[in-house]
Amino acid sequence: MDASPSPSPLLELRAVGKRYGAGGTAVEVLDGVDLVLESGASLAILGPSGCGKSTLLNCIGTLDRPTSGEVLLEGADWQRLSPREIARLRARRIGFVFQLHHLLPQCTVLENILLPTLADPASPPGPEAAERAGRLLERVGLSARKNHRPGELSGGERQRAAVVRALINRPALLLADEPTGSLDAASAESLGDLLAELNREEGVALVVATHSPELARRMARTGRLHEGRLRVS
Amino acid sequence: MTAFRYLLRSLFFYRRTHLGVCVGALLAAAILTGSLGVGDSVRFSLRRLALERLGAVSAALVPSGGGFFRERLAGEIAAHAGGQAAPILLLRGTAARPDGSSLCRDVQIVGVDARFWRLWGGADLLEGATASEAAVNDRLAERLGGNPGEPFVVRVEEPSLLSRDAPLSGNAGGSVALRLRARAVVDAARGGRFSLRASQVPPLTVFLPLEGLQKEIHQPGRANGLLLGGVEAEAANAALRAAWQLADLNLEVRPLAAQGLEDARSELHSGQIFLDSALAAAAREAVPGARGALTYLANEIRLGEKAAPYSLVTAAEEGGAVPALGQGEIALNAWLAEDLGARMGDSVVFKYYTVGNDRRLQEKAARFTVRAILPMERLDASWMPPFPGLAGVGNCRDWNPGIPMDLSRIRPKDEAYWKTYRGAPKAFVGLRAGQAIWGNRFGALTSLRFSDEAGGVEKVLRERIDPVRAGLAFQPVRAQALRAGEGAQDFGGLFLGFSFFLIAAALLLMAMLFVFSREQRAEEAGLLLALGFEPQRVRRWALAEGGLAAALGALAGAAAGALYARLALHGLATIWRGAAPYGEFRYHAEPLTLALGAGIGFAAAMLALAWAARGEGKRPAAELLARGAERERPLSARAGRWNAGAGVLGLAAACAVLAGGGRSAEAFFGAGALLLAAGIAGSAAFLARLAQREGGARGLAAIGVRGAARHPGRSLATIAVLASGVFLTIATGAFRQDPLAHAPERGSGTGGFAWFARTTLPVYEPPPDADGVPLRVWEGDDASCLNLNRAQTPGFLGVRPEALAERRAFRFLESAPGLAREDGWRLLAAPQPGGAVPAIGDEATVRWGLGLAAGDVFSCPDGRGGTFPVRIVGVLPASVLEGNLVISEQEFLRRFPGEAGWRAFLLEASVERGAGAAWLEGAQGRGMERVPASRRLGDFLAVENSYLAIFQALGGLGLLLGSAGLAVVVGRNVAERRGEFALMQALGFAPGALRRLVLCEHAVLVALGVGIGALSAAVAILPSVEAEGNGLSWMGPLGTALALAGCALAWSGLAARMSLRGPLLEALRGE
Repeated sequence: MDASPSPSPLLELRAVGKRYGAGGTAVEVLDGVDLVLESGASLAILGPSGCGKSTLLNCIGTLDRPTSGEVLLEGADWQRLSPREIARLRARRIGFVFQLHHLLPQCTVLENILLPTLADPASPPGPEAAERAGRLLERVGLSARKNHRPGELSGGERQRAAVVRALINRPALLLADEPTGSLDAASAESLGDLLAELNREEGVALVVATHSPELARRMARTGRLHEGRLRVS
Repeated sequence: MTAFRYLLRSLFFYRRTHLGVCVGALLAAAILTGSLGVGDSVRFSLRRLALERLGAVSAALVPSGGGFFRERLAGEIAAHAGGQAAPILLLRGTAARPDGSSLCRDVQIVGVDARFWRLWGGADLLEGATASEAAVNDRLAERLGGNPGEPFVVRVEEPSLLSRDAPLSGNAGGSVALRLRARAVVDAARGGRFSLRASQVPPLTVFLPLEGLQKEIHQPGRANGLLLGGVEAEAANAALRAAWQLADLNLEVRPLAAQGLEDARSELHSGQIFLDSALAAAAREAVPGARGALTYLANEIRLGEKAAPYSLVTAAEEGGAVPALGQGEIALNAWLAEDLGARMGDSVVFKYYTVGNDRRLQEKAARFTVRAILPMERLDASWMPPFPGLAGVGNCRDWNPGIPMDLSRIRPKDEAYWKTYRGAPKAFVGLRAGQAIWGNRFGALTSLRFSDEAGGVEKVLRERIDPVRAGLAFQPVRAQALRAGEGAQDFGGLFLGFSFFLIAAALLLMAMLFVFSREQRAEEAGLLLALGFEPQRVRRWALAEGGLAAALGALAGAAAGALYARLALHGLATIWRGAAPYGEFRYHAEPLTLALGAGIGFAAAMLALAWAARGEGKRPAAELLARGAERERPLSARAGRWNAGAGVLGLAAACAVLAGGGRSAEAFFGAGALLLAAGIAGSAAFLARLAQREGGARGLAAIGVRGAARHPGRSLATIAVLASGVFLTIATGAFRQDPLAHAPERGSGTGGFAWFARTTLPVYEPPPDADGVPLRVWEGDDASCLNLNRAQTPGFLGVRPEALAERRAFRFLESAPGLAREDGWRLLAAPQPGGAVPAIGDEATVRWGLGLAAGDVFSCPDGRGGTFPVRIVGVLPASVLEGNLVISEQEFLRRFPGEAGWRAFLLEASVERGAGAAWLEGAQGRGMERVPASRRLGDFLAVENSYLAIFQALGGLGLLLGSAGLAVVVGRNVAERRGEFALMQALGFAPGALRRLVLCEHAVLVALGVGIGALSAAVAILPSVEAEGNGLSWMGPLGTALALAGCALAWSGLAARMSLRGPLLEALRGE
């Protein structure tokens, strides 16, 4: 996939559907979701637990395959790509922040942040990546903790480190699935601020799945997922 | 950040979980390296033993006919070929303390001089020794006991150039007794292990001064062995061809009186009386015009009422004054014609003895018509060969030619004849006619006569006769010894095979632990996938991480292999001594072996890890990332149906294999593997059914049983390990054989005989027919399983086939293609393609000792220096005949004419009574060692049983490891479900009830594993049970299976108790 600016929107969902199971017990989680998101835009997806927010993010982020519809990233439906191309797309263009930080306990914060650079052969060379990691860590206030292990960090610090890890390869799209879900109020607010600022500073489009109205308010647009359909306001 | 850094970080961080992989690889590499190390050590030790027994000897000459050559030949060969040459006298005898205690049989008596000791780089241990001084090797010193300086008596058969089986060979069985005192005990480094036989069993040896021994056995200046150091056999034989004399083949060309009857100037005769047929033919070819003669002793020559006793008669070809005589025609000398009053045309009858194969004399008669009467003037005694007991005897009354003689029949005129004419023949018959009645396996001529002078004839014969082909050949004994050691029973392979299950169990456990560790890190794999790592790369990293742990384990395992090898060698020297009798093994491992063990161990571990990691990266990242993702993947109903089908197919295939393959090892293992596979597939179907069962389970036990289906992979791996272990343990246990089980039966390995006896010196009278079967013995390499070396030339036993056939002794396993097994011993008389000699041997000798099968043809050296083809026509199960091939006595005597008498006996219990007892008494004096046949069979079976014991012990260790795996599975299952158990506790279930639940769940696996293993073993060994009768034992293996089941259950219980310890409710909070 070409990383150069394209006339197509960064992300376009066309009638995306996702069904689990078959026959009478089948559950329609997503039902004809349409969405257009431009580069640098931000969107919060709200909805109750189990409404399909994570499923939608996984379908956008190539982690899960929709049952129907198209997911176009920079004009191309990733479903038509080979597994290798999908992996490369994820490495280069998409960043993830999960509800749980998923930092590797065996690596330091800096090593965790640099881990995605190993996934992409086209990643900047080691020193350059380390420099960017350093800048980002400073930006999120973790430069003093870069050689610490995740176990030595607070929940908020871990999640900030996870955000930096998601940004290290300069993705065009950052997907955050309940990023504040496991944080206390102060840490959640701080992380919300950070995501909003990074969205502006890094020019990365941001889709956040959350049921936190506070976090949603920091995004440019808000979408509500209800009975499988997304209504964006 | 680099991939390598990530790997190192992970390796260190998860070091505890990697420990399992490390230990698994360590065990695999240690067992592999150790097993190969055992092989290296055995080979190294056998090589060391071979070099110890041969010192610097590279080639050796031992005349194949058992003859003697000039001692001086040694110096002459050394002068031609260089190197060190040592002539020796090599005899067989017994040694005992004078009071008869400590009787040692099969002692080699070696006459040596300083040249012998130099081959071991030492000083002459017998320098200046008196006639009563000797040196003994350490083993004999130990066997004789007492103070080495105490006197002992050596009894050795006085060698005769003429076979004791030959007619007119004198009185058989003469032996020389030497009262000696050992002045030195010779250890291995100084030549104490000297032997020309490829065996790890050190000989019992007495060393005597060569010259003294030559005198004692009346062979001055002669030797019957020549050891050569620093010269290869080929060069030695070339030197031999240049240096040899006719005397080295016991031949002599002597001048004849010019006025002899035949006008011959010279005569070739042999110290062995009868000229070997091949040598005679070569001599005839070398000197054209030679005329053959065969002189024999007639018991009586009779014309009507007149008879002349004990007269020499010569069968000769026409020449000079010897007339041409046709069949049935005779020429009498004038003295005999006058004595009998015979005239031309009269018919005379003479009687003579022939010797049957059983050395029994038969008096026969032949009728001839007088065609000529020869004058006495030109008759001389040169026609008579030097018959022992006749030649050189002054009076007829002192004759002792080894046949019954009624000396009272000798008349004064006979004495007068002997005094005047000595051995001049009283009559001549045609050569062909004479050979037809007196020819024997030792030859059909007593001399060849030439018109040329002796000097010229001798020169021509030396040039034209090849001594090497005539049986005077150097053998490359050093190369043969090293080859025998190299081709020895591969203990490395053996231990590798025996340890296979242990290795498999270690690897399976390792793979299981690896899977568990990967399951624990499922989120990490999900994260890597989400970050854009390709699934293959995630798998590669997982594998590389495990690989690093495995590499560390394999390296440590290579070092630990030395310990395993030392333990195994210690086992072979102690509890498994039966597997390698007299094996003195020293640990030795080649660097390549260590590298190979570590490499193969690592590769095997990597294969197991690759198998375990095959699913890594295949599950979607989202699923892996979701905390608490369902790890349980029970088998579907469809998988259950497939497995049920596979189980039925496996069962059918196993039945087919058993029906077709009978009791072969291939059928046993093939059917066993199929049955196990069918059982495991059936278990999978059962687990699928459990998983799909609808409706609530009643009671804790039912819930527990259903739990076994939650992790079918783990459950099936546990079942597979237990089933395989139980199968091997039961099957090997059941195959242990009891030599006493059927010993009295004719069809057993004892042949139904009560005793097996061997004598050091040949016995010339067979036991009474009803009391036993005598066997002639050609000593070759011991091809039994007691010899660790690969037999280069097997030994042969000669037997009258009918003696065994009439008794229906022994049972036949198989016969050569095209021959009927039911013909049994009569197969030995069946003509074979290409004139091959039919031979029968037992399975251990044929298959393992010689690497042959029924129907195979191979070439063997004969007793004349040539070779002959042998075909294996029948194979017996384990028997007292192990170590040798059995051929018919007739063929034996044809191929080994020099072997006289019998040296092995299958004896009935009745031999201790009546005529048998008298025979036994006589045989005792020939160094007889008589052991119960069942004990001899037991010695052989001990080897097989020891192998089975090793297999069982190592298999048992594997099973222990397998049951440890079960404990790990229990622990893991409980740890994963602590939340579930916590909930149950919260609902009011007592801790004991939870333990019972866990135990029930895993008891299903134990029951399935042990049951499948036991049933598979029982079915697979069924054909052997039918074939062996009831030689196989059942109770022990059954007990073992039950003990194993108990052990596995105990492991489960312990693991459940330990895993359910601690406050479970914390787990509930974690949920």
